Amino acid sequence: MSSSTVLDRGYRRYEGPREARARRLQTLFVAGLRRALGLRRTWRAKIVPWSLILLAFAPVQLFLLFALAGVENDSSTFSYGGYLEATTLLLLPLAAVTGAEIVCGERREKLLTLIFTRPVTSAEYVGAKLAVVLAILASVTLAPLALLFVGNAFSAPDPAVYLTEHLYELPRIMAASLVVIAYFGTVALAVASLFDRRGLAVVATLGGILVASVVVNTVAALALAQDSLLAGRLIRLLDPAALPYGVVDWIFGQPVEAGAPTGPVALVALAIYVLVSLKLFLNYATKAGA
Amino acid sequence: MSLIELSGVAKAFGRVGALDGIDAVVDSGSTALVSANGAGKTTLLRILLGLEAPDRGRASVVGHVLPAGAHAIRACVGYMPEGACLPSDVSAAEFVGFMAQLGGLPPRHARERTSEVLYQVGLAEERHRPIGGFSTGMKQRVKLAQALVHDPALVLLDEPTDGMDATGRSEMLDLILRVRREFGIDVLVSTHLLGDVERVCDRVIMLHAGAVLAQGAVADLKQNEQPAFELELHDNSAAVVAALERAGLGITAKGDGRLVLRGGEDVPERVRDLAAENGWPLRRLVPRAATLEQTFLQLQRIASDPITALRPRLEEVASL
Repeated sequence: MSSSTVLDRGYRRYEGPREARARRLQTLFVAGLRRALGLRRTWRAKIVPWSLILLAFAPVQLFLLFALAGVENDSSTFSYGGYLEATTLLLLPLAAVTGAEIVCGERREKLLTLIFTRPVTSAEYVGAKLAVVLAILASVTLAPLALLFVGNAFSAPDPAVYLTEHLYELPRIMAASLVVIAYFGTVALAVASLFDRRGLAVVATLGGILVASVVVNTVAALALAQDSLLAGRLIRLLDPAALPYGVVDWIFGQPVEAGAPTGPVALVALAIYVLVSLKLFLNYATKAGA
Repeated sequence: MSLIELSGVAKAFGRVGALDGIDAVVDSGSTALVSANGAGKTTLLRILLGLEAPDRGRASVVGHVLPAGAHAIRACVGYMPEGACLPSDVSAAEFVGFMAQLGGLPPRHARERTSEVLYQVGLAEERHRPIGGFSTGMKQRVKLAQALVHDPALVLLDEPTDGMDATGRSEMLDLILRVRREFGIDVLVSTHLLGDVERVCDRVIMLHAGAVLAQGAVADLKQNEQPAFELELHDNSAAVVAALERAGLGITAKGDGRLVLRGGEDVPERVRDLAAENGWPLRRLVPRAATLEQTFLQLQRIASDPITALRPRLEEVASL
């Protein structure tokens, strides 16, 4: 006869540790990152984010292949500012997809009504979502540029000399990447917070930025055609697609395009875009939780 | 110390008043918050969680005064909202674990608690299935599980049996009973279903038009009603009804041929005498069990009709 006994698995009160704000922020961040990258979900959810991330590394991979094959490095092809501008084609859709993925589902399913029943503030929620977007966008801007910097150093005749002579590039890379990802990230979150459907949010983000850019450039061109340089520059401050690259050029010491706003002015305009977008997203979170 | 103390709590949305000076005390146990739909139950629950700020009045929950104590309250109170609020493409285990961590539990403890709570609510087998494929009853259980997973001192349940079939509703009510009796967690249930209240709650707070209509033990409130008796005669004709009315009895036709009589404790004796005098063949005369619903409807009628409400007071004054 068996000596085993069946024990009643009654409810047990929890007497373990309870962690504070950092745990809540980490939980929101990790959950957002998983959702945005399609982790623990079907392969379909992984296709778009991972394709865009891998594509962002393609130029660096080519560069490293050339370097390994002994092909001479053409620094103009692989300048850091140029690389950052080239990744826009990927950055913008990735920002739109990420923003939509981490916001629209929760909005549609009214998940915020539950999230805010825990000790989570709307500012913490916004901070965690912003951190997710910035982390993912940094992976297609900062990470390839860092790799490019390392690659440049190791393909140089004397890596130590390259590192010493080009150390000033690192803060530039950091600052320029931060400007670009903060801008596209916050705009994508703000637009996504207006839609329940991810597809609509992505189309609205991409379409909004591209259409606005075309309209602003057309109006700016008309102003410049009438020799109104100041008006042209002011109007181009409204160009949502080109604005961050005016700042990037300024950070990397590139000459400002004729008729484009100067670097500091573009930086102020960009900061306003970022703050307004954050405010819109915060308003959404506050209303959704209330 | 009481679990919840409300003093003059009022809240309006624009010109629409949701709560109008609520004074109530909730002690440890299971308490129901009862009103018709749209009478301010959910608003009151949201105020208790610190998600809405009252326009005036004072509220404290589990010893924390609002609004300063909102975060502390949310850390030790669970909330099961009404309506859909669950992610469809995430498993029950993942979602409840997420909510546990938002409640401050470390990941390992959150996983253990999630398994424990999903087992207790009857979702042990289904915990790794996406919530989108769950029935309404299973989704309600997930909502209850997330409210319990951080082991709160109090759970606020907003219409917990909403949209459930009879079996699911009965199982949910059993679960709520267990939450109080076995888990030792105090419960505040918001509902408009008074049958549910009688089954799971010790105390009740009745709201009407944003104000407290009555509050107290369920058993006490049921006794507030005037005794009633069900009468069934061979022939409940108009003449019989008229004779009963002449005898001073309040009569309500039930629709199934029976009459409900009110008029004091001596109704059976008076009906017996009338039946004997008139030769009515008496089929059935039994006391009618008082229900909370009758009490609530009666109180609601009185509150809605100020003249009726004032009449006993006027009679009291007149008798002096």
